[in-house]
Amino acid sequence: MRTEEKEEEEEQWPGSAHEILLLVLPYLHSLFELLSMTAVSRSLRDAIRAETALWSKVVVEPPLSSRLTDDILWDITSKSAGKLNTLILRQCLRITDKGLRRVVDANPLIRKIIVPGCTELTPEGIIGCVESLSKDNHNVETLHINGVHRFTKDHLSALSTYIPHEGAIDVEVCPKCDQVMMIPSCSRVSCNRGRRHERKCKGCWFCVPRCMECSVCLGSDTEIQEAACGGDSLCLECWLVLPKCRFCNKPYCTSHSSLRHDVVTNDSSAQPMFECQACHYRAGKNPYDAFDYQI
Amino acid sequence: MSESDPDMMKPETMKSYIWLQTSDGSVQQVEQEVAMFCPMICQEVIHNGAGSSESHAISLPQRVNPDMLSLILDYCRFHQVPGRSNKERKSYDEKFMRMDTKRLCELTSAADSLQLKPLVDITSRALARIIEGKSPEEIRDIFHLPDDLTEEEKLEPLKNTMDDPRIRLLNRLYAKKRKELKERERLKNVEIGEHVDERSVDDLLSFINSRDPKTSKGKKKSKKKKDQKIDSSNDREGPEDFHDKESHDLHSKQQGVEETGSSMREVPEDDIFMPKVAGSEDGDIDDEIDPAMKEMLDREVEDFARRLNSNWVCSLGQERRPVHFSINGNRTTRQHIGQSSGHN
Repeated sequence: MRTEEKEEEEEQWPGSAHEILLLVLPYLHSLFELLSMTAVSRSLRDAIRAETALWSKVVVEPPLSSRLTDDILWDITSKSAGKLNTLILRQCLRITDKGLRRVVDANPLIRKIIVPGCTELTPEGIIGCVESLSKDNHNVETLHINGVHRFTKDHLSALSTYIPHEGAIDVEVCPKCDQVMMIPSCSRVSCNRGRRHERKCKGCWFCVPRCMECSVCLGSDTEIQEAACGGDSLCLECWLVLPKCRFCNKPYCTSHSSLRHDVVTNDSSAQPMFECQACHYRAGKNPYDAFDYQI
Repeated sequence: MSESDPDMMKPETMKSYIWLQTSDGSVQQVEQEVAMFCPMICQEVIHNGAGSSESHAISLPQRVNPDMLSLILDYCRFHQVPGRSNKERKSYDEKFMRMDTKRLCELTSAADSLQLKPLVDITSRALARIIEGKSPEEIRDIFHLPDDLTEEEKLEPLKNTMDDPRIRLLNRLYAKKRKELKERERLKNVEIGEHVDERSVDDLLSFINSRDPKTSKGKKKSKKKKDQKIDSSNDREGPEDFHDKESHDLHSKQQGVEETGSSMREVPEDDIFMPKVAGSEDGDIDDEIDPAMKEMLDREVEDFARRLNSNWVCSLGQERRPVHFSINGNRTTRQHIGQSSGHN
């Protein structure tokens, strides 16, 4: 029966799937999908190779990031015929200053360089790239360098001569600890009154306690809710909507939600339950013993 | 407006209707402001005066069946109302996109034929989200596409296929020179090529990654468009980087040599075309044997390069500098013109 159905479905499938996929090509998320598509069929492969517009924005994310070397990056960016516009390399650990500079030199029209977590890059290399791009009345619009190590205030001020626009660079100097860090914005009403620069909670992640989910600032006057992932704090609104451990009633924040120990029940209509790690490992012991939940 | 069916007409509404005919022959009428949201219909009405009566219905493209038409008209009906907020529109779009992949494909196709760009946009995004993270096998499965690439072709995703015959000829000349290095690498290639990964993308890049770091700058894969192997055979370091970049810039526009699945493993693909080279090659792939022939070839290459340069500079703008290829082997000509842009 199944093969019959499948055959029927195949017949009804639009024969123009190829044209449709051609329409979809500009919307593909990253290099991974683009390369995947080149291996799908001959016509797609030819279309992708020939179209330089598809290569004017290069996005490399994990899992490809760890495999991207300078040479491969060069190969890929050369497909834009000098018209590379946006370069997004997330956690590409093998990209060096030399490799990046080579790409930048060959593509003077780059407007966005987003290289978070590319730890082999150095501030000097990046400043060199931005400098090279800022010639001839051209401007870099966006530069994200959080995760590139050893940035100092001086580096930042050098960069801001080339990129004067506020918010173009993702890191700033934290007013409280004087380090170059990302400073999250705050959704609290009182913090958004007046000018952005003057809000009290303007500080990096280490200096200002924030909710893990919505990064609203948590002060002494607001109730700070604890998360099961030890050390993370939540605001009341976010705490309310997250599912909680069935013993200690603490939620995991969404980025740590994989730490849940799900409780399997046969009853499908019941709410899915989980235990946090601490409670799970304590299972079997007397739950009424004094137990310090503050891990 | 049609006078044939008074039941369908309400004289008091004053609305005007457009008549549309779908691929299966059925005809329906649609409110004018809704239908005119589609550029294709708009054009037909304004330029050809069609759609004003049942007998003069606008014949819609074949890809628009009644099912898809009703979807599209729903979309148009919602969005043509000017008063809605962006948030409302976005949330309508989100809900609208919830359908299975097959219908999504049909809808994309239909919207494209009606030139309804916003709808094509959101359907394409939805399809792109479906494709996200999938391997080629999975994509072929979802869209029922035939697998028409040979194993070797799957491992060469980035070759270029520009069809300039002069460049093609140049490529052949270069490929000939690369032959000696290819021979050496062939064994290694066969080993690597044998790996079968579930995810071909990993294959591609690990294939690229795992090349022997013999050549300059660790540039491993001897793609047809690169001639670094030639350079490395002369062990030059400094100017090589620059040269590589130059020739690469040029080559990035060049067609890869034949697509006969001839990656590194197959050797003789250039021999077929050798006769076309002026001064008839005798199919001999060894440069060193005939210096006179080599001289002539070198001159040919120079000539082509010069001719290409003039075209190149015109077509690519001032970013490109005129490139002179260095001829390797016996001669060591290095003729760079133009400044290096602070490179390496």
